[in-house]
Amino acid sequence: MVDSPTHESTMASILEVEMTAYLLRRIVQIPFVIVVTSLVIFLLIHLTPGDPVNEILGLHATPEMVRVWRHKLGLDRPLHVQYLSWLWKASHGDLGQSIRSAQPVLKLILDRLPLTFVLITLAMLFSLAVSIPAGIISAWKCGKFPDYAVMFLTLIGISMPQFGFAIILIMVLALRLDLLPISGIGLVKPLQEPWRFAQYAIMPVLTLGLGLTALETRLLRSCMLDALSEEYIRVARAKGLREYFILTRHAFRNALIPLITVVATYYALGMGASIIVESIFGIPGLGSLLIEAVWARDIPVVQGCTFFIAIFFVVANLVADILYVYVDPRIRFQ
Amino acid sequence: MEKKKVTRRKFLKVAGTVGLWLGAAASSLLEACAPKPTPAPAPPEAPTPAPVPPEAPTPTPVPPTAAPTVVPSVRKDLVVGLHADVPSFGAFTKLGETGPKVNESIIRRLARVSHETFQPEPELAVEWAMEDPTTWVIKLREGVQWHKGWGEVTAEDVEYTINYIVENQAYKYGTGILNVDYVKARSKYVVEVKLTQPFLAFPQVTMDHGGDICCKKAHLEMGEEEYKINPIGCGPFQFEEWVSGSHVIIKKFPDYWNPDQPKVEEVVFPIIPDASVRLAALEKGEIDWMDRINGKDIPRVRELEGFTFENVPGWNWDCLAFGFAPYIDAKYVTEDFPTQIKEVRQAISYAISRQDIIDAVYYGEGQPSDSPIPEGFPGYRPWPLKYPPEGDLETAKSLMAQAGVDGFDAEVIGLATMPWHVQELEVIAEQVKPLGINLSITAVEEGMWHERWYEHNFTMGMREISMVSADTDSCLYWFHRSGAKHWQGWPNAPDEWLDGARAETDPEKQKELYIKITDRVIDECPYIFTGHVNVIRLYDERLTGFRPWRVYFIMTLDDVGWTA
Amino acid sequence: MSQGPRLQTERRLIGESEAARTIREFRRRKVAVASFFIMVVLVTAVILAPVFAPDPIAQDLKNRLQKPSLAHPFGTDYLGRDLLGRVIHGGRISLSVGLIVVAIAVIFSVPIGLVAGYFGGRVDDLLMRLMDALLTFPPLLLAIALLASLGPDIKNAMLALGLVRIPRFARLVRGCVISAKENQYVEAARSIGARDLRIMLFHIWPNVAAPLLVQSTISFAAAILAEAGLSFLGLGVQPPTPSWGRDISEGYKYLREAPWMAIFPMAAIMVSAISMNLVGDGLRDAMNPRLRGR
Repeated sequence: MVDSPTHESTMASILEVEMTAYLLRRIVQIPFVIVVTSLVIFLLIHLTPGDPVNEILGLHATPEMVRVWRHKLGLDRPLHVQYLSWLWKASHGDLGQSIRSAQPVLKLILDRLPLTFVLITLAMLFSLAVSIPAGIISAWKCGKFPDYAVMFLTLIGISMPQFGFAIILIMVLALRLDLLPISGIGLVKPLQEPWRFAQYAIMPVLTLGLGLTALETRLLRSCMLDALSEEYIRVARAKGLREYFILTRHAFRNALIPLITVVATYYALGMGASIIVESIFGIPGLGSLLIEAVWARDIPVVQGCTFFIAIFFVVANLVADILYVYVDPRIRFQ
Repeated sequence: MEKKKVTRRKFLKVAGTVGLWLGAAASSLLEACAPKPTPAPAPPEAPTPAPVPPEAPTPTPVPPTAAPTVVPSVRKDLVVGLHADVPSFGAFTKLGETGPKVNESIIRRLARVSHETFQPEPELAVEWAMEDPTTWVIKLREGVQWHKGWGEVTAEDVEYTINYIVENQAYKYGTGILNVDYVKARSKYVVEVKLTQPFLAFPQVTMDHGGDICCKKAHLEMGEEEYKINPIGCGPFQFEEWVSGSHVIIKKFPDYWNPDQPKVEEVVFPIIPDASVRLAALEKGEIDWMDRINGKDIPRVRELEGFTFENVPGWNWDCLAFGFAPYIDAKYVTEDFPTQIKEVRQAISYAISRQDIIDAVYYGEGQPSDSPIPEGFPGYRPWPLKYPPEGDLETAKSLMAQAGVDGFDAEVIGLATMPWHVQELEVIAEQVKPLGINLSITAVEEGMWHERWYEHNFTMGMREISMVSADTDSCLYWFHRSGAKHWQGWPNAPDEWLDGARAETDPEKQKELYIKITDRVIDECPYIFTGHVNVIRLYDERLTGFRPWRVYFIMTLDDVGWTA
Repeated sequence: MSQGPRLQTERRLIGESEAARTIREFRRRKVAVASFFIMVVLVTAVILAPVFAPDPIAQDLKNRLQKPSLAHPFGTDYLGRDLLGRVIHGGRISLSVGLIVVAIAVIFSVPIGLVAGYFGGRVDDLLMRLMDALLTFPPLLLAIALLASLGPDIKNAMLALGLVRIPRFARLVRGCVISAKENQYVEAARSIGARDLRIMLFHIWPNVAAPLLVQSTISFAAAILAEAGLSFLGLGVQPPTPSWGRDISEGYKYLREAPWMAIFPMAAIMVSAISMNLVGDGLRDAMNPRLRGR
């Protein structure tokens, strides 16, 4: 009989081994992704015309001095040597120093990373807080007014550029009504002055969360509608289960997987995509550090930022994978 | 189901172990960081100076500085809004425009030229004299201390600084430190500087612009890299903290030689790149001082209640530069390109309306000018020297006809971080259209700017030039002499006159030379100067003690205090 | 009590082709049809811009920052340029960028997806790994790095934006190909010895074309937004050429004095993106036999 104890425990242990193997494989992929991403950006930035040494030297410097400084900075070594040496040091936690300011790259990034991360996380939480109820309501009242309202709003949400939304927020909340400050968040310590921090953070968080909220709502809605039209829902209804129960337990489950995917992708890309929002609100975050470094050809800083962005990417995907399994153990490990 | 439960529990165990592993890896990575700003290194022991018999130099009469009325400040804090991050600190690197705003309070110069009297005032140096045409002797102030316990300022520091710049061709080489043969400390407080040629403007150029001295001991012990993020000066404020992209903080130096300075105890410099946001912060009281105001806000803030609107004629100008073949890469300019013809350049200079530019881009805060020398300097003559401020399209057209050029297309580059230049280029492009000239504008960012401007890769470009030294030489030499820093290949450069003027010891003869040089520049138009832009600052009206520097990159806070 | 989605069985008129049925279904959806017409109007206006639209570059320094009026229906900008002209001419850039970006994505992704899906195995693995590698890039980062290295130019912007869209399109194509492979027609064709290429063109491609078209419309909308973002950062079109994104970034500086400078280009972006999204939605619904009200 299939249900004998030995068979079950064998199946369990096989599953366990598969799981572990899968996870390990994913973890092994982490350095691979980091290497590929950082390598491509490294090549790109080295192909970019413009010499980082210009940021240090006076413009009267002779070619001789330029040569000396390039040598000091290690910029005259062959590209693969430069890259590998960077990679080696990076894996030991040494990301080098900014060419321009001589500040350690790690310090520069860690000064600015938390702010970006906090804002992105707040935006994500906000989006979930809005999209889950909105998606459920929209699916529940499909075809009626609430559904149309939600669909209309989300349509606007995916059709509006982020900076456009930011500008509208600024126009209304900051300029007309004078309710919120626009920039200066860098000087506020969130833990010591949470209320003040919140005032500075509201507009950037709303802006960052806009597209995500709209996307999530639509996704939730369509997944739940899919589920609601399945056979087993009709069976559940026929059995007399309450609508609320049906909605949240059965239909919503169907949407969890895509939802996790969307959130993970958002995190993965978010660290790199906050550049525009940071530029509008004057937020000294990772995005603005990166773009300034690109402008100044500050290679160590660019590499360092890319390194962190890649790490975020893989960690976000890994967490998503773990959550997938947790949500739906039927998933096979491929 | 049984199977599910086992799976899940076991799975969580695995996931938990993995999580711990990741967490350990992450925390070891984090350990390698220092999230707090770099702390100052521990000061070494005070050095014992070697006794050297002092030599008294021949004293030169130095105009005395008026002692400021000593009124203590009501408040001890000050918030100054910066428009861009400081690229770095340090005595030997480029500080950009915002770096010096902070740095001037940390370091001291040998002498400082007043932008009101045009005369150099003693700062680190109390006396200086020209012993013979190529030798200058400087006597330092005694008892000036370096920050954070690094000892006393001596002639050795001056010797070290200038020699370092010369040997390493570091940042101020060629602009502040010119024609130096050697530097020698004659005694503890007396320095001798030997030049390779006479240089009348030595106090203005080398002692002021090139005169920020770094601490030899600190620089040697800390190393250049550490020094750049932990500058040691001898000024009224000492460096406290710098969070890149966010702010800089400096605090009062308790052992400053002048007990009445500074008046405030802490200055915070938040970095707010957006000008409208900065203005809003000023109006709300979040910051107390700002500059680099958007042109369009100027009409409104001129009369703003509660604020002082300071506008001074600037020692700067905007200019349109031409690249010349064969110095410029052939991809951008060849010898038969229309901009190589003098009449074409003159035509452009006639076609543009400088008044319109000042009005449109700067809302009237500036002076249209076709001359490179601002008012107050030897060789200055009132503008316009040749080209009328409203422009003269007829003459322009006839010049084009004379040159036999119907029109042409050209690319102009401008710095993207100076959007007012891009606006100016848009206006100019429109103004030269009647001549058949089509200008396409490329706004390049910093890194690209270096690549294009300094590597000779452009046809035309717009730039803003500020005089770094209060001397006519600094507004002519580097742009108009072959081989000099900003020379872009102008074949007819008046090298002899420029060299002669620099080494000239008779002020009258010098002025003549400058006039000759200017005339040639106006005639041949290697640069088309559009105007001097006013330097505008806005600050809380309860503040006093700001000195009206004529350039954006100087700011001194020695006597700044609150009256209420 | 929730109604649940309306189910409809597939309706097909006798002898009607797939395409004709899709069009008929599409026409039933009023919103989608309206959006389609809006797009047509926009595109026509933009194509005919040089003929009738006001000059976007002509400056009028005496009339800067004017409110919308009869002479200047959208107002003027900081150099006195007519905003209506700028918005319409700016549309040429933005819409053509959207088109070319999608074209780049399609041109590269179709062969990749077709080959990967049809041949499967190692080839599929390799190609999908490549696509994954491309997917790991934060698109904006790649765009900025590319533009910094190649120069801030509209062509390079299109290249960068198109490049990052390839993986998504390729996956879509591959997915369709895989499901189409199971199709009876393909098996039948194989059994009579048809060549691979022929099978791909005649049997598989029709299945791919439809979802590809839907994805294209949605991607078009996203591309317009992305180009606007790049221009906003100063990386796209150079002045004085009008571009919606760049004009908004200029308008942002004058938000207090002249909000119309930012509002009109933004409205233009939104109208284009919304109508394109609605067209895409309508197409997707029309192609799908079971109406889901998506």
